Amino acid sequence: MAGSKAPRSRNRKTSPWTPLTVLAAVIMALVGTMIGTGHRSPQLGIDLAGGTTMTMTAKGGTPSTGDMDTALQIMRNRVNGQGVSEAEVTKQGSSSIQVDLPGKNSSELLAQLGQTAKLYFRVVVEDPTQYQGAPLRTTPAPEPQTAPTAPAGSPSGSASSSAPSGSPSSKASSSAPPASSSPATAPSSGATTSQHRVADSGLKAADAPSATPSGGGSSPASPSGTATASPKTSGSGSPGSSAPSANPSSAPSAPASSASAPPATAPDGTPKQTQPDLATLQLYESIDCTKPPSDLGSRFAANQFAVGCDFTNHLPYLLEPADVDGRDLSGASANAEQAGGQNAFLTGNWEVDLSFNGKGAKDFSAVTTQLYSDKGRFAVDLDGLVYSAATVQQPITDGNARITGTFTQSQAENLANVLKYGALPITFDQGDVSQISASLAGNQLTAGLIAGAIGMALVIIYLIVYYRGLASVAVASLVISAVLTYALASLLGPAMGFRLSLAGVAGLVVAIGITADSFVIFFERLRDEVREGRSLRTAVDHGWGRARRTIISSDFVSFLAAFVLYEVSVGTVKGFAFTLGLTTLLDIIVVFMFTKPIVTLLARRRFFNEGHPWSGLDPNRLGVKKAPGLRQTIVDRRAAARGQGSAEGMEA
Amino acid sequence: MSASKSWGNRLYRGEVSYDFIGKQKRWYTISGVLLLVSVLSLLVFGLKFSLDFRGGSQFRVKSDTAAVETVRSHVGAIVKDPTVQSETVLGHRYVVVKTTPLTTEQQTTVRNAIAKDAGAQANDVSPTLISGSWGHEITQKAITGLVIFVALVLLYLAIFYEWKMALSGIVALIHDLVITAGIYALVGFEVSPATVIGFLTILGYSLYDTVVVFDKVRENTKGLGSTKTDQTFTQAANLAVNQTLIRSLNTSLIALIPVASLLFAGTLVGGAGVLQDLALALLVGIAVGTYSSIFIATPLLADLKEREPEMRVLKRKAAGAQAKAAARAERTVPVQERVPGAFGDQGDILGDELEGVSEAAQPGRDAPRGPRNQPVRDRGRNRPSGKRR
Repeated sequence: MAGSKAPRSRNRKTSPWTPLTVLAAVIMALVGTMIGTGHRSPQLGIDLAGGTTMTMTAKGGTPSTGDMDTALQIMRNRVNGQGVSEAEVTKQGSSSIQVDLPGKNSSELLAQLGQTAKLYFRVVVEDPTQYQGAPLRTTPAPEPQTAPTAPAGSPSGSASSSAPSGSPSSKASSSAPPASSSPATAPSSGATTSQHRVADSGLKAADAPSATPSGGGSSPASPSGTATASPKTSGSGSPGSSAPSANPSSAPSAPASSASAPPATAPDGTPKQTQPDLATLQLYESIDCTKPPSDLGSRFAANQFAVGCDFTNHLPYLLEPADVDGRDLSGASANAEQAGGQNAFLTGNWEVDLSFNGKGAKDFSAVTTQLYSDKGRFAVDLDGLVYSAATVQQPITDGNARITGTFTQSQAENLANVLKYGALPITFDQGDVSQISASLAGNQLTAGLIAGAIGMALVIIYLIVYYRGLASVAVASLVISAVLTYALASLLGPAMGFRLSLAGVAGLVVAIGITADSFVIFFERLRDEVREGRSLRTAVDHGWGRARRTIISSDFVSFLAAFVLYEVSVGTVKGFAFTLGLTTLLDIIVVFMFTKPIVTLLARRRFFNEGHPWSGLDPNRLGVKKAPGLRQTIVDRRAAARGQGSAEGMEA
Repeated sequence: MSASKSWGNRLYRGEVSYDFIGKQKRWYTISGVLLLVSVLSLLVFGLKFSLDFRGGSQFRVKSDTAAVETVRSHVGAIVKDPTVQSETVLGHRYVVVKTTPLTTEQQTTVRNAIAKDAGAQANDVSPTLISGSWGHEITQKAITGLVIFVALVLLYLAIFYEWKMALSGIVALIHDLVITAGIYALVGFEVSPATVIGFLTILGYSLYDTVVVFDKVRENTKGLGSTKTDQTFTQAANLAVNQTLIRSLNTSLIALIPVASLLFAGTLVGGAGVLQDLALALLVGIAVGTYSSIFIATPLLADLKEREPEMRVLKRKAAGAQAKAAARAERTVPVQERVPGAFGDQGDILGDELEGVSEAAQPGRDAPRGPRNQPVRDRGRNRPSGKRR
């Protein structure tokens, strides 16, 4: 029995009371928070508690089925971007979309969702005075020091991957001083430039923080960016500057007035306007960007000049016809910005990474190539709101761009979300927001709860019959698991929008069985060890050592399923995956912090230690003749083994 | 009780043993037939999707009085599982009924039923076509999730166990999903989001079950071929399955009890069948999952392992050792110690083989293994390798 010594002494280092105390403290804290904050029961999903609904109807006739389906999908994405809320989005007839959200106070969220948006990338008209009607405002020009050619020393971002010759991947960087406040100067109508956006000094990401605002009377800039592109030539050779020249499409063209952007057609194939309408110019003149009209974006088609308002500092922009359609954006994500090439470090800033599909990449390549030579800027125009105006530092030809700047994490995520879910192909009229009752009969929840109670009771009876004394441990573990689950489900409602749907309730009922399985594994191992003739104390440690591995492996697989589903899926599946993952984690916690310590403690008691027939560990029943509890010598064990034969013979 | 316990003890010791793996051809045939039937029914009948997938008709009527429950039961008599909700817009109350696609006749009947309950004219009940709330992409994402999960689990099992286990486990998983889906197609149960969630639970559960069995297989086969040559892989694996049999049965029973009570409650309550759908999918899936972890995953693993050259050598060695042991057992083991044939002949034969094995192998191993070694026992019962690591 040499092998049994090591685990026993190891186990003595930590008293079984430690985890029990910690667990008790955690439960008390959770229950205390639950009662203290008043969230005493889980929030219920839309199928059980009803919620808020809104129907949105497409403006201007019946749109095509494809557009409706795209809009439906985008709506779902937006809704599901809100967290684990189990919303339902349905198409009604051929031109309406209905969104049902759980909870009675979701009107605000609905209104936000209903913001129908069209996303375009447009070139900023730097000098509106060139157009007829001579607008009195001017869009501030970029600072002279903008757009340096790619700095020699700083290879861009990812040091790891080297893009071999020919395909320079791109990177947009911007820097802007922190937006300190709202614009200092209200838009005035003076004939001269009344405001300067702080030009985004187009710097490499690494240099961004050092950018200083300059220019007289400048109002602080919003996190608008400059797009920098540089090839990912991993540090060696001459980075950057050689790449653009390799670009065939960088046709040198018109100077600063960027009226003649390379593609003569908008992304949808229609010919671009060459001159803004008078109405557009007048709007540009008169618009009050602190209160932009909500339909601003829908006033201008893709091939028209447009007016946009900056979303943070409320400055107006005159924008050229669109060059890139937001629908061609295939992905956008917010990431922590890295700099420093091979010794990459986080700058503390956030960036938004964009990727375009084939068409988008082509369009984007054309416009950035053009803008690079013009030193012009392009704007991300979402429904008339300009989210980012960036200078181009290098043509971006492979459809992967980065917008960097002094974004905070939430600003970057917001922008990424806007870009990702923003481009609705149709404009919608928002309908009335109304309250809707539960879609399932109230007795379904009751039935689910009763089923849970019955199931739990039957499981407990089974455990008692089979495991006798040990069943008390199993039952106590199940109860603790239930308390923890309930407390967390109640608290996670307000914390992250977790709502319990009927499927979730059913999932919890199913979890009873899966949780009980951990005890079954442990107890069976324990009994195996007792069968081997070990004393109960050593059997607990040995059995646990092996059961632990099995429990962790199997729970890991279960948790992996939950995690992947949670990450990938949406809606109901997400809610379910959340429940599954939560119960799996709790299972591990309860087994490690409650079941095992309690069994260790019980093993010291005579009832179990001496193998009382009702302890569930009766050595006779388990086929061991010699009573455990005493240390056995090999001679003893041999005797036990010999005696076993007769004991079993009688049983059989 | 005592009988089942002694049965459990014997299983553990290998005294009673069911030859799960040796008869793998039989199980493969059974599963092959089941899979074939499942795939055929999926192709021929297809799955019946619910309102949430297919969309259907929506009826909306203004009514301050109509009780949701009444409407639900009336419409429910015409078409299965309608969704009935009340809606309040600017102080006006509406009753909204959603059903699966209807024939023109059904539509008229439903309209009349709703109008009657609402105290309105049939013309006031306006039907609209609606799409499913569970669109293509939600299903698509669930499938994507499944694929990613399967890939990750393959990787996990391949790294922490071995790739042959990964392969067998995944085959068993696919087996479970296809058969469960096949049963749905064959019987014509409706597939609702709850069913999909049930399927997804099965994939976790099926692998969970398989991992538990494989963990024991790994433990039993540790050192096989190098330090232990008395058992073939198949025998060691079969012992593992037998040793975890009690656990598998217990777990399945404990998992099935709540599911069965859910199904029972769902059937009893009637109406919208979320509980029923989920419980049914799980009931079928857990049963199939337990079956596959014993009858498919482990035999498959044994088959894969037996192809390895080392294992072939081991098979020869073990066969020799066992033949010798059997010969000696004939001389030394008293007849009455043989297990009575209550649990099947096959089991006894293997049990006897194993009994002899440990005895025969002992002398050769005594020296290097030292004090941890099992003493040579008169009865020659096999002590499973469980405690030796």
